[in-house]
Amino acid sequence: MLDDNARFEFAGDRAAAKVIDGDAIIIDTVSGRYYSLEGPAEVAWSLLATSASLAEVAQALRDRYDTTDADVLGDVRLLTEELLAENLLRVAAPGSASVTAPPPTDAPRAPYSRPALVVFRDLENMLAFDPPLPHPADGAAWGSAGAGE
Amino acid sequence: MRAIYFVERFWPHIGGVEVLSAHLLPALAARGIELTVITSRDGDTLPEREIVNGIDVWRFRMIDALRDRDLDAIVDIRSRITTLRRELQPDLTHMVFTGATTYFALTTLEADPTPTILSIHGSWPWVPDDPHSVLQRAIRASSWITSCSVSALDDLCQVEPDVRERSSVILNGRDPASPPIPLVLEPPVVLCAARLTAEKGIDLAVDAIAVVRTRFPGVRLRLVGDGPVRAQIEPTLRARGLAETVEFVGWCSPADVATHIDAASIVLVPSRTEGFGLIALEAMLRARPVVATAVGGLPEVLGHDGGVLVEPESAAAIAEGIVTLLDRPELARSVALAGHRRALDEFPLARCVDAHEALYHQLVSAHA
Repeated sequence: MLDDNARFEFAGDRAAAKVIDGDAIIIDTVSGRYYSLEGPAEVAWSLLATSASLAEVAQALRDRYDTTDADVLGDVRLLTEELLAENLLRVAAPGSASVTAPPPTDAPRAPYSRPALVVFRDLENMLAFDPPLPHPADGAAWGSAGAGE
Repeated sequence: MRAIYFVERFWPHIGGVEVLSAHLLPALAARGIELTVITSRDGDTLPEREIVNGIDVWRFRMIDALRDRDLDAIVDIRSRITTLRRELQPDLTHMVFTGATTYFALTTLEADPTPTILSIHGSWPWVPDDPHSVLQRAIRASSWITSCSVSALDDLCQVEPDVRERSSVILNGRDPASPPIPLVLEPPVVLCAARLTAEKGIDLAVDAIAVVRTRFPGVRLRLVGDGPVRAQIEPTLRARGLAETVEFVGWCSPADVATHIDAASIVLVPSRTEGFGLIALEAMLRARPVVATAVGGLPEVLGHDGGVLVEPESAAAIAEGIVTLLDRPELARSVALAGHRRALDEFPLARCVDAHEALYHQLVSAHA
């Protein structure tokens, strides 16, 4: 089991990541897998990738979300294990500095859901199956497509 | 009603889905459905936006972005599609599952939570049994699933049994633009029109024609379309003595495909997988006898007398089907006429349009 104080870092040598509208988009440039993390998962990802410990990430989620009955630390641990298994995170070197989570705001806390890693595993297969095609109908009137016309 | 139609490629690209969409959407628009198409514009010079026949078509470089693993481009496209969807405020989203770009549809759905239809055209050589596959994610994200054939739906239900409760079959439809011209069997010309990819079974067609040639030395196999299999087959033809027998035409426009169908004695569909097999229907509409492998939706298209169904993966069976028709011209004409009648009776475009229109209204009403 991962230690609550363990810290991690983004595997930036094999993956690229960006956050847009509360959604972290990650591409594993080696395997061609695509990932998405939304809501609490995006918050957790952003902190984990900058060396926050599991305990710090869980506290940050409690500050932002209504987590009344949730096992937030357990959820963060599961997410971290998934991210490690997908080679998107690696254990940080001892003494790694953590980026401090932003302080909680006065805004009402949003509903909590278990942070989930969304994986798109087969995009590469589909792209390989689908070779580029020309558009030989170019110039023909649309709606007059097809046999017999 | 306002709907977003999300499809990987769109007119002037050609292919079964592309040709179907080019007929279906104007017909739906004529019935008052305001349609916006979101599609790919990769590797070509098509405009990013154009309005054709009253339909707003937006093209983004989705395939290039995914193929190049270009995160900046992916983020930009997702952002622009999200903005577009928020501006449009559609009543419904219709995703046609034809490739990897369904990723963009799935990851922007929350911009306008609407009823979502997923249409499966079943041309995939596999149905991924993986909850993390794009197809399974699309199934879970959809309110309703349509399939172009019973066969394609059955394949899907083997992986996701609960699909049965929220799905329906909407058969593809086409109308003839003109009456067919008389069938000419001499010299015998066998036509295959398809993307020249492995699942289309072009190698089987070539193997079969080598057998047919021993009975009909003047037979020609005309291959319309292009793709990676051509490079594997073409260099081998001379050594096999087939250089004068097999003709590669390359890509041509849908109108030229129709001309090639008219010039054919037999239209061959030797596929290994086939969701529906629109080319078979097009051949039937032109009253050309069809020989097709009994895979996917092809038995549903041909019915019991609308063409000759043969064992899949068997060049010998394909050859036998061709020889049977060439040996018996009266049978070839009879099959062609039965296929023509079946195409007119069972696959009119209006039936396909009616089914889509009814489903759109049903889902939007239920959502409201």
